[in-house]
Amino acid sequence: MTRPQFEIKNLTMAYGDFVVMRNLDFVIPRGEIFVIMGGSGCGKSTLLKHMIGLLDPTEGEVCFEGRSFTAADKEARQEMLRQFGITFQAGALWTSMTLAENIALPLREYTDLSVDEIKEVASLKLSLVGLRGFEGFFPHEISGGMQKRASLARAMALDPKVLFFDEPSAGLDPVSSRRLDDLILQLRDSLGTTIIIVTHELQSIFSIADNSVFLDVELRTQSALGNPSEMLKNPPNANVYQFLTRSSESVAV
Amino acid sequence: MSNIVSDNRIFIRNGLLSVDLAGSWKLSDGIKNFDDDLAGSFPTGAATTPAAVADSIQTIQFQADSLAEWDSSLLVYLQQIADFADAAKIEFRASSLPDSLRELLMLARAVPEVETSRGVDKMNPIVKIGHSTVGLFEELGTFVHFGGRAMSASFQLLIRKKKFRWHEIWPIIKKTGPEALGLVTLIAFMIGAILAFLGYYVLAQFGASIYVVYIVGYGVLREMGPLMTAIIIAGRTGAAFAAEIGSMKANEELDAYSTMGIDPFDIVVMPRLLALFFMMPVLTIYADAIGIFGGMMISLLLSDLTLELFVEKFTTDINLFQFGIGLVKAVLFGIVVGLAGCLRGMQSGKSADAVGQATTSAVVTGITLIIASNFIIDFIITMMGL
Repeated sequence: MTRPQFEIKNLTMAYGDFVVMRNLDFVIPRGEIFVIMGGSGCGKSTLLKHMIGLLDPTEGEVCFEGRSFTAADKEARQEMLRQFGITFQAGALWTSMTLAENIALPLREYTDLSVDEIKEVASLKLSLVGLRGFEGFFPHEISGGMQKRASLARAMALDPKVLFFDEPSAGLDPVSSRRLDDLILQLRDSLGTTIIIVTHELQSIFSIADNSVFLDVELRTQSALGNPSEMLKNPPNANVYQFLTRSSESVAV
Repeated sequence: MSNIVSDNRIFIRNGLLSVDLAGSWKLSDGIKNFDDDLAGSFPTGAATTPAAVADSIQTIQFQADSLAEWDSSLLVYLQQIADFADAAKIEFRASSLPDSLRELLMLARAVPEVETSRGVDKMNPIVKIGHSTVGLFEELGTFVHFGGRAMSASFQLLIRKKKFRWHEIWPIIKKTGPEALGLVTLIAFMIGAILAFLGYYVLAQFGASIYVVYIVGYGVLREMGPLMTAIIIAGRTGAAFAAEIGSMKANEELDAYSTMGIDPFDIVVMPRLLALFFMMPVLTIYADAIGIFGGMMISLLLSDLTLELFVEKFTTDINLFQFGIGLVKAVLFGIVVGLAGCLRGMQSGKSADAVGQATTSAVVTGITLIIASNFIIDFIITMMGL
């Protein structure tokens, strides 16, 4: 296993008194596609929010490249966050800006590039996601799948080391969803980006995940870790098997 | 020479342009420009446009042996070269690039650029004036059409062809009426006082300061009471209507009504119009009372008037007709504010920005129409000698 990009150490997440997940403990290797999976409401997105600092853990910590992200002060955290690119579930493109402006904003904030250079980078990012020529469009003028891709282009603006995806295929047709999967694979292969995906789409999980963690909604903790295809061959427990095979009955394993 | 790598980046020999990618490429160091690099490798003054070099260069290839760290800045540079090669119809030897770079470049160029008409906005000024004039009439037409729909819906409510949705109207009445009382009180009191100040200042010059009663009475009942109430309501309620309906549209809530067979006009627009139709006269009567009270306080303070005299003059000389005119105006203004707010909300786009625009536009349209219709009513009444 290569050096870890992320380490989740004994993490407990809670909203007030309500514990969502406890004792999460796993490592996300560099340059891999890592899937956080589990049934609806199990806390997948909550875990993602803990990893990008939108929520703070009740216990335990998240480490990024060996440094604690959760314990870091504001500046150190900002510096780490700049190495993340995040694609939100609904895209969350800024509706009052064109696609090019959406991508330009982080570049303007964090680099010294000139206006023309920023324009060029924005066009490049859009062309990487197949949206060449859509620079002047507003988010509401393009389709949902295109918004997702534009949102990915924005996430890639600062050449992040880690790309997060929250339900990338939600609301996409199978073909667009497949294209997005291919794009994710290409980004891993050519840029070596670590990619962390929250999803429950089995097809995506089997076709792109190198590694995964299964969050068990009943046990309120992780109940399996590893490659999903391997998990299917040797299911570690009934819940994982049920999830990966879409079966409605519990099966003794 | 400070930047040796950049200056010697490009070599041209026997129709082969070789680009040396040595060194590290970081966005934080800026992005290099291929056109500049190319110009630097030609004699000073020589043309280096794609057309000019097309004859002397047949192939572009890359030297990536000493390539260190790189990021998007290198990709942007390669895009420039690829675009240049396309324009000059020169062979672009991508095979000489490292695998990962070549794949990314192929990904970036896999989907051809979409041809759009964006950025082409060179309209003749006369054509522009024409467009905006037509636009203005279209706007007016839309407003009249919207008003007509409201009238027909009201008629259908009267003859019981449509359901009267009290449970929809009541919360809106509460929001538009009682919650606006504080602001109406403050503004009406001060408007009454201002009229008294003005009346006293002008009339005292003719020794007729006791007639300030008329300025306050006519001024508040006929003009300022309904006008100021309507402007407050346009800013408060008209804006809220546009924002509410705009957001509902953005969330596809209006579509949800339509798919259930409920006309959004009936369930979203009509309750709001009716609420204002009922509340505007009530608020205006209240504003009239407070305005006259404010005017009276200032009159008593400044002039020789006594309370008895003020009341006597007010009740004998100012007839109910003045109050009636004010009320008619109030009803009309209520309808105008409601129509402007709801229309702008229904016309709103689906983005956060569009909802903001709809809100602004609701207030502007509302206030403009209030003042314009007040002018027209005053004109007609004066012509009729009332």
